Amino acid sequence: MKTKHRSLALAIFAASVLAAASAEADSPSPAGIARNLAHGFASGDYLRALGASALRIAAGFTLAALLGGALGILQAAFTPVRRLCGPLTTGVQALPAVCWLPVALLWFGRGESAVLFCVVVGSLFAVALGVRDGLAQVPPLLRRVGQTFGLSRWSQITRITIPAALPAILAGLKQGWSFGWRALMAGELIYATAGLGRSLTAGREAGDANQVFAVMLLILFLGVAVDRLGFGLIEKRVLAKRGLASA
Amino acid sequence: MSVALQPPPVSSTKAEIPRLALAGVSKSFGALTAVKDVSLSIRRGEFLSLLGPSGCGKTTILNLLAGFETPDTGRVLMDGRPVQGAGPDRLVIFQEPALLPWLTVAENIGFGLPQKPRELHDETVRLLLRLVHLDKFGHLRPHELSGGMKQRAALARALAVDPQVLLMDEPFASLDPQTRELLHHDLQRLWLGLHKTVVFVTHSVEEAVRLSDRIAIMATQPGRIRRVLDVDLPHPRDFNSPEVAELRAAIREEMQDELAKLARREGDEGWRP
Ligand SMILES: Nc1ncnc2c1ncn2[C@@H]1O[C@H](COP(=O)(O)OP(=O)(O)O)[C@@H](O)[C@H]1O
Ligand SMILES: [Mg+2]
Repeated sequence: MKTKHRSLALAIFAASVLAAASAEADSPSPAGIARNLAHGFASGDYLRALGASALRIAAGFTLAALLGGALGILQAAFTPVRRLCGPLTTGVQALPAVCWLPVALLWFGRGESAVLFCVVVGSLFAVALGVRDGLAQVPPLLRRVGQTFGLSRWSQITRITIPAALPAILAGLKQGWSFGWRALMAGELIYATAGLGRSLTAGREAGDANQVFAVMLLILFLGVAVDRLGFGLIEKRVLAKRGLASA
Repeated sequence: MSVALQPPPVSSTKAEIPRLALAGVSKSFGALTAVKDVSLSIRRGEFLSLLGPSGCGKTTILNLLAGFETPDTGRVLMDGRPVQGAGPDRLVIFQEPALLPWLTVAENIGFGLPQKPRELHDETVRLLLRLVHLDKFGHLRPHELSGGMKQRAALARALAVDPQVLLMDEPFASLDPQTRELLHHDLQRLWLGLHKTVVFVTHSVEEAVRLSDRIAIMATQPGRIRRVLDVDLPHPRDFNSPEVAELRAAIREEMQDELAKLARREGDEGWRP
């Protein structure tokens, strides 16, 4: 929460410094940005952009969570799969999602699917990594607790493995979301009929610095809000329950 | 405290099948022979301690009895049948309490119980909480408990499933002396009342003497059973009595050899900082 306020303040500060530094008429100013935001929301443009981006990230992230979850589970469960995909997952995860953009354009052309592809590959591997490591690193002692109580294979998974892996799984999802969000913004800059990235490009094309900064604020706000209020709060609860400090 | 406690009747008829038995069991880890040719019978309702210095194979024996490990040679039997994997008839209490950190104390204690019907489950958990003096702490998480409270919760969680055998691996080793004393008392009270068979691993002579019907003194490298002592003294045991003093002295002497052997071995290898 605190961090959110701090980053917002920082963004506004940066915007005002830029405004002060430049004397040109169309340079951004806090007042200009505020006016632009008010106008954008009143006309419904920004709500539509927010909605379009939210829809894309929701679809992309859901897909990434499912695929990444499956990839992580397969790697945790089967040693050959881990041997084969393990280093690849770790390596690809470190790749900035923007690097997938050219691939996306090659394979899918300029279109909705290219943007979605970027989001999915951008976040998929971070999720897979969290799921894989969370499942694989369940303390042997806790596994043995399940065994001595005679749990079935299924109960062992639902009552020991998953709850024990939950903090790592959540961390992976959070990381994946944040990578996916960045990938989406990059994708929308290149192609989108609507969305925050598209509004950013529109601002640039119109030479309207106020709009560019206003949209940047919106992107920052949505990103931080989901990160802190969504994942952050869930993570905090899960960790506090276990007597672990949140990172 | 002052109630005269009687140990449960230990059946020792020759013909009777022992509750647990190791028959010529050996177990190696790579080149290291952890236990070698161990044979031991544990009677129904008996409290048997495995006593020996660190690294002598106590945990390995317990893991074999628990079914976490399989023997390289020999057989592990429960009621005359080969042990196949772990199960709630031989419940293990680990050195660390091993409570599940995402559950409350009450949920941990109810872990092995049928979750339905709910009223019965909750009532059983309440009784168990009272049994180990944690009535007021059921809603807390394990990380909010002291070491002694955690181990009492682990004990209650184990007793909940009414196992025939409790396998305890140095469960009180990391507790302070006062807490350990209290837990000895709790464990003894529960054991005398519930007639469980207990295999109790320890490296403390006092602990073994205080709690056991029999003490299996182990030899190190490779782990073997050196001698099994009967302790025919009434509970609670008076540590100032000549009988207890004599027994302790006898065990210490037996173990001195082992410690000397360990010291010699370390001397041979040379001490490197
Ligand atoms: N899983 C294992 N892998 C390799 N060595 C082991 C393993 N378990 C035990 N050992 C070794 O076997 C010996 C006996 O260990 P253990 O049974 O834990 O002794 P204790 O419980 O008496 O301290 C030790 O030398 C230990 O290092
Ligand atoms: Mg041990």
